[in-house]
Formats: sequence, C-alpha cells, structure tokens
Amino acid sequence: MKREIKSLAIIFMTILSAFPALGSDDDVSKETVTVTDLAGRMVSLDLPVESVVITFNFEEYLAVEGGDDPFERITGWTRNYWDGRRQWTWEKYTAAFPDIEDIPDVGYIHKGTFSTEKVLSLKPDVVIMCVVDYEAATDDVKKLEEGGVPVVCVDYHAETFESHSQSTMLLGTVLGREVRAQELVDFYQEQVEVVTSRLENLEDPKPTVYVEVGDKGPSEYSNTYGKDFMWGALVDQCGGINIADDVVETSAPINPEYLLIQNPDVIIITGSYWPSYNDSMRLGYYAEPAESKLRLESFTERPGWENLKAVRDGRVYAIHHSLSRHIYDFVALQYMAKCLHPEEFEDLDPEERFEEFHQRFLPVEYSGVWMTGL
Amino acid sequence: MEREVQRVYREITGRKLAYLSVIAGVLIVATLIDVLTGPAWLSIREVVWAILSPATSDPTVGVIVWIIRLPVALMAIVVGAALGVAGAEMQTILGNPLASPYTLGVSAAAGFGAALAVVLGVGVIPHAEEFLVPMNAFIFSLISCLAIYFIARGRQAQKETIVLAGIAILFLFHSLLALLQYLATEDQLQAVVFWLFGSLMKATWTKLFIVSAVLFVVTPLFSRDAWKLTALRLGDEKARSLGIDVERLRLKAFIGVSILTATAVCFVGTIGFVGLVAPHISRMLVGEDQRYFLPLSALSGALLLSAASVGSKLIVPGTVFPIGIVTSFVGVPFFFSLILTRKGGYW
Repeated sequence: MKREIKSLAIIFMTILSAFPALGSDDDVSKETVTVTDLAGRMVSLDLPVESVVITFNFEEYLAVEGGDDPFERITGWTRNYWDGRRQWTWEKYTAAFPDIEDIPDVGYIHKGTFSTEKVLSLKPDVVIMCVVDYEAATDDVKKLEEGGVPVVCVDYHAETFESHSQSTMLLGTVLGREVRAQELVDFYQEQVEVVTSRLENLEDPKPTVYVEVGDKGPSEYSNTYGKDFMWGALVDQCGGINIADDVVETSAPINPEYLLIQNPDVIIITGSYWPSYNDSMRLGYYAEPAESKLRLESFTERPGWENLKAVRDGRVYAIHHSLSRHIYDFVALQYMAKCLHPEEFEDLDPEERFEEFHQRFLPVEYSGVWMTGL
Repeated sequence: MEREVQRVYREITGRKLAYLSVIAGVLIVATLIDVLTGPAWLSIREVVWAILSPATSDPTVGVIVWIIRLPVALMAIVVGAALGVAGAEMQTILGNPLASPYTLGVSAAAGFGAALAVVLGVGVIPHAEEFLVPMNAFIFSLISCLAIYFIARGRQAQKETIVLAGIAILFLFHSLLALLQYLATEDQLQAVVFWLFGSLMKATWTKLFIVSAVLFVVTPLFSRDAWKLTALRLGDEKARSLGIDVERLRLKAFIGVSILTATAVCFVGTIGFVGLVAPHISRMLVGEDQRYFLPLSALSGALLLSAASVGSKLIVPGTVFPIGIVTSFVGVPFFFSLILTRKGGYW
C-alpha cells in the first residue's frame, strides 16, 4: 500500500515536472527522509515538501525559507499567532504581503480552536508546530498522523543554544534550505558568543534586577519572572541577580513593597502593543521613540519609586516582550547584558544587529522601537 | 417568674454581645497583623511611627505603610463587611441558606461587566482601567439585580422566583463571560482572568472611601428594619399577620443588597465566598435576631477577608496570592469546624 502511494506520488511528481511552472525545484522526485524532531519523535517525511501548515514560530520559518515570497509554501496557519496576539507584527507583515490575509486559518491550539479537520482538508505535506503546541495537542497530532499528515516539532521555548540551532537546522532539512539554516545558526552563534564569552571573564559585581511585563501600565504591578523562566532566566544568563528568584516560581506579580525594600540596581519593563491597557509599555514595529520613552518614564512615577536606586541612577530600561523564545532572542541577550554591564558592553549595538537580522533573514524591514532607556 | 424571664433574656443577649465583642476584638487584631505583615518586615515601631508621623519617617517606609498596606488592610475590612451584610440580608429576605451575591449571579454580572470594559474599550479612554472597569462592573451587577427585581415584582416578590431568576442570571452571565474570553486577545484574556481572581492590591484611598460611604449609608437602612426582617424569617404569612408589607420589605432590602454588593465587588473582583459564609457563621453564633445577626455578619465578613489578606501575603512571601483563592482556603476549614461542633440545625 505504502509503496503504491509512493509510486503514485512519483507518477504525480513526474506529471508535475512536465509543467515546469508548477514544480519550482530542479529535483522534483520525492525522497523519504526520517528526521528526529525537538519533541524526540522520529518522523518520516517525503521531501521536498510543497505545502506546509504552521502553528508557531513563523519568523523562524520565514528566516529559513527566504526568497521573495517566503509565504509561498504555507497553505494554512494559526492566524492568531500574529493577528490579535502581536498586532503590530501582523500589520507589518500584511502591509508588505497583503495576500497573507487569505491564508486559511487552522485555529489556535492554546485557545482550543485548532481544527484537525481543517488541517486535513488543506492536505499539507507537513505540519510544523512548536513543542509547547504539541504537548497541548497530542490527541490532535495523533489524528493528523492517522490522516497521513506528518507533524514536526521545533522548540525555541527551551531557550538553549542547542535547541535553537537544532530547531533551525530541522527547519532547513524540512524545507530543503540547509545552507540558509546553517547561515542563520552561524549568525546566531556569533551574536550569542559576543555576550557569553565576555560574561565568563566579567569581574563586575552582579547588579540586582527587577523585570516586569509592562502590559498593565504603571497603575498596576504585572507579572515578573522567577529563576529559570523566561526573563528571569535571561537575567541570570546576563550576569545579574533577579530579585524575584526566591519568591516567584514561573511568573506572578510581586508585592510592591517587596520591590521597594529590595531596591534593585536595574529595572527592566517589557513592552509590546497591548491595547487593552491604555498606558501599557509600547514597543514594536510602529512604536515612536519619544512616546516609548514617555511611557517608560511614567513607570518611574509609581509611589515610592523616586527613591529607588535604579530610578535615581536612570537605570530603567524597556525591551520588547516578544524578543524571548525566538531565534532573535540574541537581541534581548545583548541588550540585557548592556543594561546590566554598560561599560563592559559599551561597543555592543543590539539594535543594529536586529536591523542586520531583518536585512539578512526576514522579509520585512526593521522599523519602530524595540528597546529604550529613560 | 417575671424576673426569671428577664434574667434569662439578659443572659442570652449578654452572650450575644459577648460574641460580638470577641469577633470585633479578633478583627482588630487581624487588621493590626495585616498592617504589620509584608515582605519588607518592618518593625512595629517603624509602622506605628509612619502612621503617627508620616512627615518624619523614612520615605520608603511611608509609601509602604500609607500607599501599599493601609488601603489594602482597610479595604479588606469594608469589602468583607459589605459582602457579609449583603449575604446576610439576601439569605434573610429569600429564606434560603444558599443565597449570596455570588450564587445569585451578581458577581458573575460584575465579572462580565469588567471583562466587557477590558475587551471593548479600556484602551481608548485614558486612565480607564482605574475607573471604567469598576464602573462597568458596577453597572452590570446593578443590571442583573434589576432584572431579578422586575421578574420578582411581577410575581409578588416570591422567594422562589427571586432565587430561580438569580440562578438563571448566574448562568447567563457565565456564558457571556466565556464568550468574551473566547473573543479576547491574549493580553485582554490575561487582564480578565486576573480581574476574576480578585485582588485587594488595587485598593486606593478613593476607592476605600467610596465603598465605606456606601456601606455606612446602606447598613443603617437595614438596621432600621431590623425587627421586620427578623419577623420575615418566621415565614411570609406570619410576617404578614404581624402587619408587615412583605413584598415591599423584600424588594426594598433587595435594592440595598444590590448596591452594596455591586460597590464591593466592582473594585476588588469576584470574592464570592465571604458573602455566603459570613452570615452562616454569624447565625450559628447569635441566631436570627437582626440586632445582633446583622452587625456580626459584617464583622465576620470583615474578619474573613482580613485573615485572607494576611494569608495572601504569607503563602508566597514577596508575591501577592490572589485573594479570591485564599478566602476559600481560610474560610472553608473554619466553616467546617463550626458545622462539626454545632449540635442543632444551621438554618
């Protein structure tokens, strides 16, 4: 049976190759390859793939895919990954590629709207998910596999160099873009090592740091992060002491008075486009420098903050919230390192590196504000 | 004989007064502990100094005591008292031990109102999250009460009608809330969920003043009707035979309860449990006589929330555990111990 399908596929592909306009690659015959994905699963794929459904990590996909229309092979996706979740990024991409408005939506796994039936009806060659998606949708994945659609998982949430590079190389294999994937991994490695190599020999005393998600604005204390989790882990990695290490497990707001009494050296507020709170920290593709600064300043006007060391020394910074858990998290790493050890990393320009990343790997141009100080 | 009766009466009322003073005493202690606890572990001297002489104390200590701790501690008292009173009168006028602002959908309506404000429009109006969300929560809890009120009035204010209408309202607003959560974006959803957890941390002196004002206006209205409300517990017919306009009394009390609940809930989110349990604690201790039942419900509500406020700061020191979760943790064991040690009926 399998062989029949395969030979059918070959026949089909041969027919396709008779129409050069339809088959874009030179080598059109399919080859079955077994890959191990980041969830540790062995997946058999017929390469090259021609149609993809993707539920997460779109930027990584686009960076590896490259070309004039990196959306070409996407036949379905989780629209909510951008639309309604990271609105400005969605607007940036739809401005550059208006057609992506028409890419069919397969639903968002974490909202329970993911439709396996929709995915199957799109008949993709592969579904690309992140491990977090997979863990939340193992039953759905089983159904997809029974329907003959292989699922491959990448993992940028683990935030280790290994998982980032393995995920990127896996995308390279699946998309047949190994060279580009290697370029991306090399670039990433270089950007990360600038920081890690210097941190090893750093003699500076470690500054104490408080990170808060700026989604609720100054009027309300929002989440901060614990040891080993997202921004909390990044503080540690950048040679700082996270004041919430011992009090927050993963993410939770802290008692304002705990912050006042800890009196950190550095405060970092994360920003994005969060319209549900009017005075939330605003950063991203369409952020204005002056406005972002003003919004950051308003955080320092919280009761009691005027006496904080970080505020008096002007060491309050903002950084884009979505710069973690992605291949471009090196930007956050560099900026955080710079905020924590300004002298040691004076020559570093993370903004410029992010711009370079856009030029080399992303289909849209860099714009707006992604990090700022007072 | 006459003297004997008087002696027994004095003994009973004396015992009730004793309960009142004991709970009031414990409440004062709990409030002091509430003001003294926090991750900064200020000494008693520092706290007292900051309260008595704010100008000369350390500025950080001043902010901690005056802006962070005091509004929260006092808010716990007034909101707890308001919910206690509202629950007590709801159970009284409906003759139903399960009645509370939570079970009759008032909290659910408030939650929906808050979520609606978050999803539809807080972002457009400056400083909206501070007042638009509570305003909307307030408006929707009043709408739900009005709906129940008019349904009830159409049916001669029968108890059963009010209870059933309330439960229907509860389900309606739960569905509407779920619908909003489904439609909300990620950051809106976060905001809504946290609102629903309930939090005293958003307390400010202005909000505290508003809730206190409503509490001190509405509660005396109930105590003016204390005898009538007590008689209502004998049943509608007996109350009527004593010359009470049952329908009017019930609707009047219902309006008071609605305003009280709406004000309390709109600033702190859904803290449901207090309104149900505080009246039961009070009833077990002093019975149905509103002269004691009403103030004791207020005091036990305040005590429950005050204790929960301390708990929310101690569970994970440094963070603030959502108060809505803690109230149940604090209240349920206490409630069970009362049920198990009590000999007679609870109702």
